[in-house]
Amino acid sequence: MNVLIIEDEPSMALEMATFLRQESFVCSIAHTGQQASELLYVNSYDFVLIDLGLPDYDGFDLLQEAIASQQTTSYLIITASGELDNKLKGLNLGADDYLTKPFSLLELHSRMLAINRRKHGLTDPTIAFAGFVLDPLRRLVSFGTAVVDLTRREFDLLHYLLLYRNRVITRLQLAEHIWGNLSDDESNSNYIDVHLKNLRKKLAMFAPINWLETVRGIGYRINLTGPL
Amino acid sequence: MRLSTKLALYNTGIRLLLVGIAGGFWPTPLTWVYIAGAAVILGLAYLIDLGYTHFLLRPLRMLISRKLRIIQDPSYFDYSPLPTTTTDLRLLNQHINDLMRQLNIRFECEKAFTAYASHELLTPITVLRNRFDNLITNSQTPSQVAIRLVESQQTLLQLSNIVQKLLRLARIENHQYVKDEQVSIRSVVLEVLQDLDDRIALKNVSVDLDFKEDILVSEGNHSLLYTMLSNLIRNAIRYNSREGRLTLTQALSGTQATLSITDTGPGMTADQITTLKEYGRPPKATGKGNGIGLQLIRTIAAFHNIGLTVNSVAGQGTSITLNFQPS
Repeated sequence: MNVLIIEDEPSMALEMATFLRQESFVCSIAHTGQQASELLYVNSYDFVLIDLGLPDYDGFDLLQEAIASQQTTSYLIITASGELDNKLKGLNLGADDYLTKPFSLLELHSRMLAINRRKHGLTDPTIAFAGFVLDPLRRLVSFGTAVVDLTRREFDLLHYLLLYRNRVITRLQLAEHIWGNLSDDESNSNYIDVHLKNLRKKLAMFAPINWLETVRGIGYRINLTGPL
Repeated sequence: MRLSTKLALYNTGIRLLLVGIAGGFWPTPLTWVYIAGAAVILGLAYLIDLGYTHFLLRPLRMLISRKLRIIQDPSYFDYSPLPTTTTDLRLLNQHINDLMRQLNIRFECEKAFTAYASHELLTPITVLRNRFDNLITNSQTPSQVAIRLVESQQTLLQLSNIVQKLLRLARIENHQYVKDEQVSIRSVVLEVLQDLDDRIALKNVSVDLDFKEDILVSEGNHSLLYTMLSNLIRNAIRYNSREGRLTLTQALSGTQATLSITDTGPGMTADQITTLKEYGRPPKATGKGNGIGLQLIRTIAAFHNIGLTVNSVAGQGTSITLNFQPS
């Protein structure tokens, strides 16, 4: 998928592009509104990530211009301002979603995947792994005909780790994903460990779970190769 | 002055009449007519005087009711001239307008600073966040380095949280949030309790919810009220004893609705209570936090005209009562 990153801060654009390229996206970068406008005129993109605070262009004007020229593209607004008015204005103009700084790259990726699913009507997000089946729509994990009794948080953690399998997810990233704005409590790491301990216990009642690894001092990783 | 002179004259007349009666002089019917006429004239003079004073003070009342009493944000101030020919009142209005213009400039500067600070502080924080994310997940990063990066990410998170809370405080103080929603406090409390359900369960805290009637904030901001109640309830869980108790009680005190959040934790320190109750007091860092959360609670409460009462007993727990103004 082609992505255009419109961001005036070069190091930020570079980190976003590095991450998205690892996830097999093809990325172009524009540091000014002028550059972005030229790129949008010449190329077509699947995703445009647009920072509203550009030095030479009003972010909303650029968004309007981009939507007028590329209507099938998905637009994600990035803003440093937490003001609701700006978010609503962007969404009303036709943006698909917004992210407020500071955000994690995993969160950016999750939002892009969600937009993609929504736009292209991907309706079977079921994940089968190591004999288990996770159904995000029914919020259910089963092993054969038996249902694994998980709490809301345990389910969310397992789902997130499965989406980013074979990658180390830090406790901080897990906390941010499941608690969002409530994740500013320093005791979150302990809560994550307790949830993972309980999750392990419940899954191990059905099958060995050596694929769920604790990466010492960092976080957790699900090691599963091959398509799920 | 005129009125008091007339009243004095009237008093003098009555006194002379009484002296006359006491001295054996009984007034003739004609005298009574004079007396009644004088009384009517005096009454009329009093009413005319009252009306005239009322008319004279009309611009001053307008100044108070139309301009000063309704002011929340200087950008909404009514700068129109007062309909008066009195020079003193015109000057007073002009000076108040000038003062409000200066205040408005300060407000606008603060708003611009908040927007600037948001962009200039949060962008580098995001860059560092993203760089740490990329380095930690890079397979070429040695595990010892990755562990140190995770620790740095944690420190960065603390910095990010402080910056965001301070920016939020500035935005509330600066009236950048609107209060245009009717907010049900019972719904917000239930929402918060659901979001914190795992923390309640993991700490084995029992929750008593005594909500006989809902409290409706007619002009509120849902997001801010959620933040305030979430901070209060989270603190009540976080600092509660294991297998402790959290009680949420709604009550009516006269026409005023109250909500008390009571825990069975170690109690608050005097400094913490002062930070929660006093405006503009710089938060004092403790071993467990920086105090900005308490200031945020106080500021959101003040923004919604909600009073705060704290009762804390060392070793037994804390009860924080929110006093909602009748709508």
